[in-house]
Amino acid sequence: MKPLRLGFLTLISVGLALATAPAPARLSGRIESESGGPARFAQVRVEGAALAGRENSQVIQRAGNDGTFEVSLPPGAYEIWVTAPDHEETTFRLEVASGATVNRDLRLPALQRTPYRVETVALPRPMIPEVSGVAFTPRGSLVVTNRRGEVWIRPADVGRWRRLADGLHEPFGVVAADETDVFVIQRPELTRLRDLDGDGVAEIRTTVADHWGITGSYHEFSYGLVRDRAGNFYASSGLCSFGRGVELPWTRGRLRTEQYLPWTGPGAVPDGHRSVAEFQGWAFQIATDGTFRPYASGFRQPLGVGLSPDDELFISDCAGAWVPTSVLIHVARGAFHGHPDSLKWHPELKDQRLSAADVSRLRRPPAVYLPRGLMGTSPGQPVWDQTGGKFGPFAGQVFLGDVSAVLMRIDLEKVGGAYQGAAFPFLRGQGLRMGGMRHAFGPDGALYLGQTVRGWMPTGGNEGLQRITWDGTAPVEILTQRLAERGFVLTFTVPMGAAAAEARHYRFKRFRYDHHPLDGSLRREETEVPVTTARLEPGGRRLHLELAEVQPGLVHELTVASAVTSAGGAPLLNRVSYYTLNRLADGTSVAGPSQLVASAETAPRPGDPRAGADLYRLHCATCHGADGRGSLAAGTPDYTGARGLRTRSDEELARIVTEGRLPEPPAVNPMPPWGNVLPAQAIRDVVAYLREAFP
Amino acid sequence: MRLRRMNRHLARARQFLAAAVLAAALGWGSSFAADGPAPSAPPRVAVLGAPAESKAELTAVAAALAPFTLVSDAEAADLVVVWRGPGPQGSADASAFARFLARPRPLVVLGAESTTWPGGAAEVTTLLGASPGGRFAPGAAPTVLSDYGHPLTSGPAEPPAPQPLRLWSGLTADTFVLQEATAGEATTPLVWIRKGGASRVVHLAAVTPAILHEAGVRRLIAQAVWWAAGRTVPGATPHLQRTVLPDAHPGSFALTFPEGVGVCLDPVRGGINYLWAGEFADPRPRWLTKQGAPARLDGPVWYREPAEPAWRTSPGGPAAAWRFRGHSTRAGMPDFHYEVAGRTVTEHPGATPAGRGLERRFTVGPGAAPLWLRLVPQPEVLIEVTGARREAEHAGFTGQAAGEFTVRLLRASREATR
Repeated sequence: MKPLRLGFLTLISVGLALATAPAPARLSGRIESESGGPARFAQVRVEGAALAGRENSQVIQRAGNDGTFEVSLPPGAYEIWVTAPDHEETTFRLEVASGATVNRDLRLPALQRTPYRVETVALPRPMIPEVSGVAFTPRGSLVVTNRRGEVWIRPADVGRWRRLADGLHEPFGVVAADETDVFVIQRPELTRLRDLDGDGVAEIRTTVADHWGITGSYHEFSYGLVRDRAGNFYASSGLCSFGRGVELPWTRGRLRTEQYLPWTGPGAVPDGHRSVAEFQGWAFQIATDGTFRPYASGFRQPLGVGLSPDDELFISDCAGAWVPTSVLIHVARGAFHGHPDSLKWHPELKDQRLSAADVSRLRRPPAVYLPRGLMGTSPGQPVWDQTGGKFGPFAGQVFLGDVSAVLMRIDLEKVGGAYQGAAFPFLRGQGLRMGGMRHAFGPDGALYLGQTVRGWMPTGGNEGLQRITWDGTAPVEILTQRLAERGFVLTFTVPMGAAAAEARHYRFKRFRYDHHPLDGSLRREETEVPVTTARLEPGGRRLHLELAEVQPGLVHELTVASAVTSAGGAPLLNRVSYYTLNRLADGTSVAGPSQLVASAETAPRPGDPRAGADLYRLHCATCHGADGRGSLAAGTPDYTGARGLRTRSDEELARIVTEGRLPEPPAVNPMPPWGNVLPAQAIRDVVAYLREAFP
Repeated sequence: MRLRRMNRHLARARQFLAAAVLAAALGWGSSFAADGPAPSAPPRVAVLGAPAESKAELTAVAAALAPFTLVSDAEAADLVVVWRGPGPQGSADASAFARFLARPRPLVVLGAESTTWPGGAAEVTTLLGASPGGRFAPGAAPTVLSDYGHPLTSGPAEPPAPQPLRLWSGLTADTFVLQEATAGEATTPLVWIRKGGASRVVHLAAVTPAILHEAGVRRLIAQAVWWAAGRTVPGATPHLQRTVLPDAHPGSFALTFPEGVGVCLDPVRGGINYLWAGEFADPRPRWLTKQGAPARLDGPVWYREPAEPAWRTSPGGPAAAWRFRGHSTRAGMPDFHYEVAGRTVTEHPGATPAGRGLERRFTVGPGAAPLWLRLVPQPEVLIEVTGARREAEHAGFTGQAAGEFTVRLLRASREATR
């Protein structure tokens, strides 16, 4: 009887699961080139809060050879990017209801001319182009690794590729001392490859260091690689995706599967990334003699490891639990940067069981937030422009690729003793492939981008090696954005026209992120910050913007109106920046009383039942029913019954929607938290609708 | 009429071929032992092919088969090479081929065309474990040609892949793809094998008349014959790939010898986790998908050690301090470097003749600590130790001066690993 009963229960559970799943919407269409015919290798990238449970919270779909695409989406509001090589990117917003069918045909314009040209670097045919490491030797030979374990070198004097080594285990970074002496970070170790007889093949593979743990999880990488002037190497280890391919009996080193800070919220742990083996979620320093020093902790997926010209370590990390959005972190020795699971291996903190609040207090904030959407999703290796002007006017600035066909530029400054600064989009689409993980400036002044996307998105048309060159004409860009006492000082790459002096052309919004165990954070307390004055210095290159208020601990988004052009009338190539204002010049890092925030908080807009009705239809009706009667299958209560909603106050309802809750009979399923999906105002709107619809 | 002309033509071509390769074959023909071929002896090969439109094609095939003894009677052959297909139902070659298949024997197929097989596509699919046809980025040339490191495909710098590619799909689970072409997300196999005891099958799918004259292609054909016949591929060297292997720490080495010895060397526990009867660890399950799976072994495991550390300071004593220091290659042969209890140890692994097992030669540096290597006696495995003390389940190198010792792990039966 028991097996039968179990089988029946399983059947019921499956039935319930199916019954509770909202009917997906279908977005389809055809992507054509403006010059006619389907746009080759076009792809559609969809982001939205409703995709929070998906890998990287996004869906990427390659169009077929005929340009057609079809994407299945849960009901929700989405931002959609459409890209294809040699075409400009197109974006649009879309809101789809459960079961909706939307057709959208698109025509992509050809690439506009910019001073930067994206070219593809030919790779040898026997090399799968999952480029995972890029470096140049001092003589200018190009060295690349791929994820299948090969190291290829294109000697500067020969120009023909040859394979220096193969058989490595997923290399993810390379430093080349010369053509015969190359260091590679592969998953299990840092390895020195040497070609002693000069035949082009490394016959010596010395294990320099292998002190960190590995489990075999597919989502477990050793990232790097950079070397400082003293000869020390820096690399990092990401958290593994616990439960997926983890070979626990075969973990190298100690094993700790429990969470450092156990998830206490409803439902499953929202992010399965965990530090199961030693030093997962750490950056480490490895001396030339192999001495291994755990260097800093608190990373989630520290994909990009870079060194500034002053040998300061910076690491990019990917949005997820405890990482509200992707970030560039200035890594200090011994610092903790946010993800608590890595603390399991911390010599002092491993058994202290800090609280979430303790963890947030301990966290050293990132130098720069890279807000999701315009600034990509998973940033790669930061590299500094030290080309002496061969790459344009951005000497000393940071360039950072991303898995989603974005190249970012970052202008750092030290304020109150710590780095912070502005992130700008540099290229979006414009011929860039996806998968920009590893970068290096070449001796020709070009920026080389190694790209790999295996499994995360379609490989066709992505992956490989690209080169970005500057044609020598001045790009019209905001060159720097620096904090001033009352606002910001912007410098431009070229003299700007008169419109640049008008305050009305600059729009600032500021917001903060939550540091929490949920998968990323929405923008919190997003607030307009009026620009009170704009003063353009003679010469048209330097602009002083004064704001109504300057507060630390907030990201400031600047959008420049299209009316602002160069003196010659050329538009800005990029009109948005994100300045991470951690500290004021005097070191203040805690926001003081704010007129702007106070006005927003003391006078919240009352809930709008019309807006709430739309949200209810999109997000709630599937489980709670359009008529509010609930569902036996979904295990949701009847709003129209005797108890209904009358026993709950608005505040209580808003809290339940925001935080979720465990089921209360007769409900059987937990209510998921929507606070990370819907802004506070939207939740007020939903509550207003509930009151109106189910009095 | 046309069929008869073709058969006549083919018969003439085959006579020509037999004469052409006879001299080359004579030198090896005498090396066959009375009770069967010696493991290194070249096999007797029959060529079946249709339609033989030109002498040039068969001449080129014959040139590729120069190291072997060509025989005209398929029944007397150790192995048959089929050029495109054995011919339609009722043809002489088709009948010969049917008789050849009556008992399990190796088969090498060059550029199969299902229209030239007596049973058509169904027969091809059954024999080769794949169906003709498939999708491959219409109109696109392959951008990547992958080789997965099998001795059969060793040597040539790049897999041959003439356009238009002949497409194959639906490979059965017992096949191993050795070379494939990729364009975007689409892949199509170029070379694959099936191993079923004596009836090994190789399909060099991309071999077409246009490339038969290429030295690399001829080498590939010859190597396919060597491997299919169960012989060691001449000139092939051991292959090394760090990956995720079954029952091993991640980052273990799949060390495969062309003699047919597969080794899982685990640099975390400092030992050999197992040996398998094969020469290939298929990395595709690990590489082709996002989450991946451990690499797939091409033969059964015949020696296995437990997960505990391999090196001890006394027989059965505590684990010796251990560090993996890397590996190097000399003339294609790997050496592995360790630090065990403060002493340097270099291991020179090698396959024993005929692939019966593995010889592990250790060079030990000076040091005070005695080193004991765990051995795991098990049925059907002979363990021989020279240059070190043997105490039940351990080999002990107890001298303080530098020296060497050797451990041989052999399959107990006379049957070679293959």
